[in-house]
Amino acid sequence: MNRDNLIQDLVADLQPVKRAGRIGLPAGVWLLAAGVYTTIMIFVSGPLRDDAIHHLLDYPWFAAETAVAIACVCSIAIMALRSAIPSGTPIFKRLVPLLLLSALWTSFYVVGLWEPAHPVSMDGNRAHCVLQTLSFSLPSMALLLYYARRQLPLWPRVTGALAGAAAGAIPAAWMQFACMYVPIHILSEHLAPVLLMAAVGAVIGPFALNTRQNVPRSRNESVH
Amino acid sequence: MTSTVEDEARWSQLMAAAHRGDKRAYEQLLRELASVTDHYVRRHFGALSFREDCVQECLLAIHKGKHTYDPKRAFRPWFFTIVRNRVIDLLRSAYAGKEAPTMTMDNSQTHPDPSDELAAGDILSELDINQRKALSLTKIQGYSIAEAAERSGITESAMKSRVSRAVRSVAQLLQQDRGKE
Repeated sequence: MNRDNLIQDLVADLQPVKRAGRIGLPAGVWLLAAGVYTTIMIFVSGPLRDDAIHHLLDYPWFAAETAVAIACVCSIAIMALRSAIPSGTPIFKRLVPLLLLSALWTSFYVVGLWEPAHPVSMDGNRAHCVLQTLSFSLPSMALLLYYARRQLPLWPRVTGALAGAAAGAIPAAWMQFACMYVPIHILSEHLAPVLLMAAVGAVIGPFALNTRQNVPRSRNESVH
Repeated sequence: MTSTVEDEARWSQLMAAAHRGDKRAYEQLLRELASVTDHYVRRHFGALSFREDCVQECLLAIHKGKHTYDPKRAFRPWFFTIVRNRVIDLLRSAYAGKEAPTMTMDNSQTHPDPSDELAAGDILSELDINQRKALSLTKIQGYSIAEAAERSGITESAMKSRVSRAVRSVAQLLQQDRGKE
């Protein structure tokens, strides 16, 4: 196909665009859908730790830890969608604030090895919290990849990794209340799966976000 | 010749009009962007026909991602990010053996050696001779990794490594070139 024909095809395919360049709506829908889904799954799979919610008022550092976790979830999800929008700023530079926020979230538990934000407790121990964190993440990751695919993901590994991390961070944050509070357990059984989900997202991202399959003409032929 | 500032404003307006469904504005925009992409690829990679693949891939990406452009933001960074990414993607996908682009010599140009053509592009002229030759054999002359390795008197894995390093170098050089866009 020559260039003129291609341009004619693309012009003929033009449809009006609403909300150009905005990711607020898909981000909001995803956060709501993934949040509700994960909440349901958490409650279906077992009870919350006794008085876990009340402890937000009793222990300010625990409340701060939870607030940072929620901020992390929202930021990673928004960044996953933003990473699927071309920008002049190099992608890794755009990730710096997010990495700092994630490091802050992790640092609560690292510090907690010596000075826990909440009394260490085996109450609420879930036998399969790792598997639950991973399995609850998968549908959320699929939905976020779907929304990212509708943008223009030029760095599919990065977008995939962020989608995996965002999806994994929601159940990880819920485990603050749904599983036992032991910092080393949180690091190895709740936060490590977030990294694993990020790795899974990075691997499947190039396949799930293959934008070259979704163009308005047959790409079986050569572009010549 | 219009200035960068005028281009920026006009392209942004044309894309905003395209978002409203204005087909004439969209056609004008695509034709101008095709021309700019063509010039960009020629400047960096020389007068080889794979630039037409790049131009068409970029047009397709712009079409698919036109809704990701926010008219309140600058147009050029959005546009050139797509162009850079697609150029690298095309080189990389050819290396990986998927959808290998046709990279024959431009018929309108008569040069005896594709390496000379590569050298005509300012980005590729900055590659070392081995990387440039590796790109020339695999991307321009269409040899497989095994054939290119045999012609260069090196092993297949060494050739793969050279091509991979060359593509990475091109990506870095294009990133460094962002200020000149």
